[in-house]
Amino acid sequence: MTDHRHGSEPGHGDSAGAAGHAHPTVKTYTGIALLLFAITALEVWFSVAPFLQPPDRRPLMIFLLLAAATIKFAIVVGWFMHLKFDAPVYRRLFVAPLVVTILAEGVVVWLTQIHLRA
Amino acid sequence: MSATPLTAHPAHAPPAAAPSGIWDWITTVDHKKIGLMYGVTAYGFFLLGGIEALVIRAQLVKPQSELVSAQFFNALFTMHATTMVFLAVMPLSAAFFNYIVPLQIGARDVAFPRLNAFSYWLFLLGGLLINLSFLLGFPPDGGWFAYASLSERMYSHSPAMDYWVVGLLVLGTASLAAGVNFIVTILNMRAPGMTMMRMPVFVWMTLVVQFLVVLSFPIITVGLIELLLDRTVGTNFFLPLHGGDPLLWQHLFWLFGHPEVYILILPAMGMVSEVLPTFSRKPLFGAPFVVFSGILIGFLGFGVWSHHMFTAGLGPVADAAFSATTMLIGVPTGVKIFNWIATMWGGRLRFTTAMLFSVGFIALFTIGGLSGIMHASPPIDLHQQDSYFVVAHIHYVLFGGAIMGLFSGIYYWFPKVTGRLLDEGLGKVHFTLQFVALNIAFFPMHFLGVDGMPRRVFTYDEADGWHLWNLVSTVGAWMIPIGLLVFMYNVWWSARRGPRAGDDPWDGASLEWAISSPPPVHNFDAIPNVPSDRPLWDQKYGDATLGLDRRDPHIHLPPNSYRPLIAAAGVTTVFGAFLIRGHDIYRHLLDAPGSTIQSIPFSSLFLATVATGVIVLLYGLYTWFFEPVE
Amino acid sequence: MTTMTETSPATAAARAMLPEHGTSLGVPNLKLAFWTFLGSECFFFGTLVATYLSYRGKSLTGPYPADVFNFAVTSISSFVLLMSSYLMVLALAAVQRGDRGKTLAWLFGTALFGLIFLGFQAFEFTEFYAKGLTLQKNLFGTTFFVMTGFHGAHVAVGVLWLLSLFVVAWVKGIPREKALNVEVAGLYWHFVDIVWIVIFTVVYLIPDPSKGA
Ligand SMILES: [Cu+2]
Repeated sequence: MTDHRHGSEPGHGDSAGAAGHAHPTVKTYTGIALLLFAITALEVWFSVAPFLQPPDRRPLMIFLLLAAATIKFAIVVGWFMHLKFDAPVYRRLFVAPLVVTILAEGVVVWLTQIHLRA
Repeated sequence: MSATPLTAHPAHAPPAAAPSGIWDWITTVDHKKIGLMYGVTAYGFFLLGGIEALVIRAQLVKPQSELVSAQFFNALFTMHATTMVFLAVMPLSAAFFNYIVPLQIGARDVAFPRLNAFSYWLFLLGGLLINLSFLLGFPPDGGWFAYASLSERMYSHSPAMDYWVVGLLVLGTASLAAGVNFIVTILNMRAPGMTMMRMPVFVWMTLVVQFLVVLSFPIITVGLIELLLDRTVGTNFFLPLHGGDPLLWQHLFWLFGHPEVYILILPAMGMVSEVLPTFSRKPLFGAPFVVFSGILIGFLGFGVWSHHMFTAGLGPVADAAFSATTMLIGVPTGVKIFNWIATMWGGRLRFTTAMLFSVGFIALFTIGGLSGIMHASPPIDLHQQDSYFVVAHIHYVLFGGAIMGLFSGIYYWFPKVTGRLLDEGLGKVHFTLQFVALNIAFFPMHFLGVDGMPRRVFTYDEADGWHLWNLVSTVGAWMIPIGLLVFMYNVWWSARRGPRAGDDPWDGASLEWAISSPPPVHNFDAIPNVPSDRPLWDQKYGDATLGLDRRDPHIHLPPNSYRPLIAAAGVTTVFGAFLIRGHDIYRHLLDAPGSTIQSIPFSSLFLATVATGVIVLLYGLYTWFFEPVE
Repeated sequence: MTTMTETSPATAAARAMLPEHGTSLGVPNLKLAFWTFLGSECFFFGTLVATYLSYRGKSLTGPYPADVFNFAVTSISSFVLLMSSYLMVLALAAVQRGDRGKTLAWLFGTALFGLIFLGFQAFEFTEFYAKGLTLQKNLFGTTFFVMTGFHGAHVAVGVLWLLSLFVVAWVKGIPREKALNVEVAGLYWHFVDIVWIVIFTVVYLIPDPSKGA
């Protein structure tokens, strides 16, 4: 899959690349990896922590787990995949579908679970 | 073209070594040739789907007809819809995307020419695979929506629905690859000066369609894989016996299926938005509104799917919500209709055949839109669901809408593609016959529907009182091929004897009319500079210049390649192996009825076919990636 | 791509070599295509996860999640996949610096961690199967194996891709101008990682409502 381009002059883009942004260094990456490790450890602890086990604490546990997963997700996408530093077009191409799929598939799950309960 | 010879040849290969004849078509990566191949193949499938429709109408011409069996009737309506949606309208639109979009944005090809060839070959192979079922005696018969549990092995023993699932998986892969390709082409390959808001509306609609493809096809792909696993491996996705929920299939199918209807109609809307301004000699009225309406339709298209499921009993909250979003999505569609009408208002109209088809599109699509908006109301929908009223609606939208728009595009761009004009007299005969015939065929279906005739029944009783309108409908349906014969004769004659078109026969405003007809292999001698949203009018009637009289010193075109065909064959073989599995299971079930699917061993032929497909695919991909292109 | 712009000499000739040269958005076609593809993949895995969640707690017979899950093993394998993403960014940084030795090391390391993850998955699948959970046994088996199976298949494709890059880097080296080829492989790899972040939380960590043994 090699791209084939026409031979026009550059610089007529309506949304130029994000060259010149602060760029993560190897040291940053190491810090991020440690952070990801810490959050994963925290997640595992949430799932076994005694104070979260009673049934009435379930919603809190689920909230904490989802929050941790969202943070990990955002960190990998933002830093490891450079989305935070890259051209805005990539962000639009990825985040818009992500939001639409969460909304639409969320409704599917909701409707299916309700239907089966009835 | 110019007097100075151009060096438009593949690098690493002298021009003399360029492939010729059939091998050139097999290995081509030229978007124009691929577009033509899409168009011809899709037209063939369009005729096949049309023949299926004619047999359906012949069976329904009188009560208690025994022309075809009930079983074969099921296959006919399943394959008619499947063929028209996936093998006719979508690839006919793809023919225009391929041929016209690079020309309209001032590019020399699409972003990934070989991926483009890969998409075409997958489409062809998928279409052949799904129709192979007729030759082997197992045409799919579970409806184009394949509702579970009817489509499950328990109720459809034979391999028929396996062909449907496997064929659609191959076709879906083709559409996904093409979708990515065209999104990148449109976003990133525009000529200098062509900002997003200067793009022709057809290009905009193409972009929206490709986003819909890229985002909705993964949903049906997963649904199809789950159904295929149920049928061939014995999983429980949609089997109530094990707690599975057939409604989940409906959700997945329509979460894809509703965006799909916009995938079918938006390209035609784009074409009409090119034709109407040209023949009204006015810019498209409120072009930004048409564009933003298209984008809005794209987003809202993912939030309305359950209007296909009002009768499934989702409860008042879901019904009310989906009713509201469905009524909402009618608004941008209505906006477009008013824009088209306002474009014609006060224009200097020229009623060429292309224009007639576009005007016909507006009228017929409006009728289909009006019956469609009725279905947004659950109480009305409960009455109309599964009746011929819905059949009338879908045919006004897809035949009166999409097909009329596509014919408008054919008459409009034929001179650019062939260098010759289609005969206008024959064209008007074709238009008149088609317009009259389709109204005779489809309008009575409204009456049949409100009178309670259900869709997909293979016959009815005299006492039902549906004979008259069925007879009328059948007469109209059988008139449609007469118009098509006129059209085909016109194409056959005009392509060789038609009057020379010249570069710009219609006084067009967009870039494709600035180059020769047919276009040179490299499209543009120089990449144009685009001053506005109607660049060619600006050059002809203003003081703008596109800079096309220059000549780029070096034009690089990618060399031909047969790797895409090999990779496509690999993908098709992997999916096709599941047909062998389907046949194996069917044979087993005939011998030992009631045996579970998981108790049937995988045959060595199945496993060998999968392995072969994987090896061919990997060979195709690796040689593709390491093929020299610079 | 940003790094390349910064480190390359800002001559016109060098800039004309860049893959984003002459494009409308000033970004390379390949990378644009890849992010589009990843948007599409969101819907692919979104639908698989939605299927799993739609049937969560709806299995008519066991084994239920609580009967088969081994949190220690899955936590370790999740950690391995997470760390492979770290190795992947190091590999890309090495390519962009033109550091061939580190490129080879980190590419191989990423692929190796991917293989270890697949090994854990094979072990887990065998364990579950031994405990009576099959594809056909109940809804949990059906949805679990198909969802994680497709994720595993994505990891396997990624491993093949990374090993191919490793061989290319070994045989003829990957010059800095070709760093994009490693970058898109990295995007794919990280995407597979974030899908697992979701699956690990939603499937393994959030307790399933069905009754275990
Ligand atoms: Cu719909």
